[in-house]
Amino acid sequence: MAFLIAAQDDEWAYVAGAYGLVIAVLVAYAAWTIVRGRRIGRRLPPEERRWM
Amino acid sequence: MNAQPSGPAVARDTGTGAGLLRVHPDGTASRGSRVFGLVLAVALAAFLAFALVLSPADRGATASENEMGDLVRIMYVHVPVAIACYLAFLVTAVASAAYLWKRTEGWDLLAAASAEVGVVFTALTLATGSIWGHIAWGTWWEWDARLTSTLLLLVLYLGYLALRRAVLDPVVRAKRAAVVGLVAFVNVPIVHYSVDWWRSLHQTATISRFDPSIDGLKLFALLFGMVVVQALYVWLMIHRFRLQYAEAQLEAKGLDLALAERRAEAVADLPGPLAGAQKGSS
Repeated sequence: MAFLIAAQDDEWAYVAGAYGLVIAVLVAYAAWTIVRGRRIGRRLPPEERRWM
Repeated sequence: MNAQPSGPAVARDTGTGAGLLRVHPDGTASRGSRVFGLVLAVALAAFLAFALVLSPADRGATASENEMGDLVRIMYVHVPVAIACYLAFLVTAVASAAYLWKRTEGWDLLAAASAEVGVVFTALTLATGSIWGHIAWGTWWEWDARLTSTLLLLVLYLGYLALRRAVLDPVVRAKRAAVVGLVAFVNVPIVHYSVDWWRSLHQTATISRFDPSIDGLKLFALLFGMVVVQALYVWLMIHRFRLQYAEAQLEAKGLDLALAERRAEAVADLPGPLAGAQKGSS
């Protein structure tokens, strides 16, 4: 029984690792894109940012 | 379109909207992308609830189950990010072909933006697959047909991004990148069918020809994950494409400025009367 619980805990550690990695990488990439967009956007006049 | 600040008291525009819908005046967001982002955040939370809490572990209770235990939950994120990388590189290939046909800058920008997002999703595909493989196969990495061809895919598109940084002339860069973007896409079907073409440690498709090897809430979590991750790809692309466009505008301005400076230097180097004539004509 203890062996089964330990195996399940081990599985959850891998599951948490996979989801944590995906969320961390995607959040970091999205933040990098948005911050870089603001930095570049600051150097462009509003009429050249056609999405606004 | 935002109004330009007019008086000396207001230095910058503070953006539009309020609260969660406030759009930064300099950023790549618009009201539409902000609403889409909020809907996506709710959908992501719902997906995590289904994938991690509501769907059962794979205990092999029915004939369609494989006794993967809680590890099956990794599939709900691994498969969707893999599909997102296929989609990203398909967009790059289509945009590259459209650029070679039409020679419109927008297609080149779309191809570049999608390739970068695709590289992120490919890296995540390899990482989540490796995590799953460590406990399921007992190894982080195996030189298996699916894994090796996916690694090759990542290297190819990293090369595509490196090429874009190496070539300075925008037209030459766009042309060469479009050719590479098209050629590299040949590897996508190889990755997908590698499990059928060669003997592979990697399992075959979980959902193929409407005959899924999982069912119930597990199938729903997988399908919902696919929808949410593809929507996330679209949201990332909206921002990444606008960033690519803004960078291109800035690069064009830089080139114009450099050309004007070069012309001014050339005029200054001319002997006196000729320089005066050049200045007079310009």
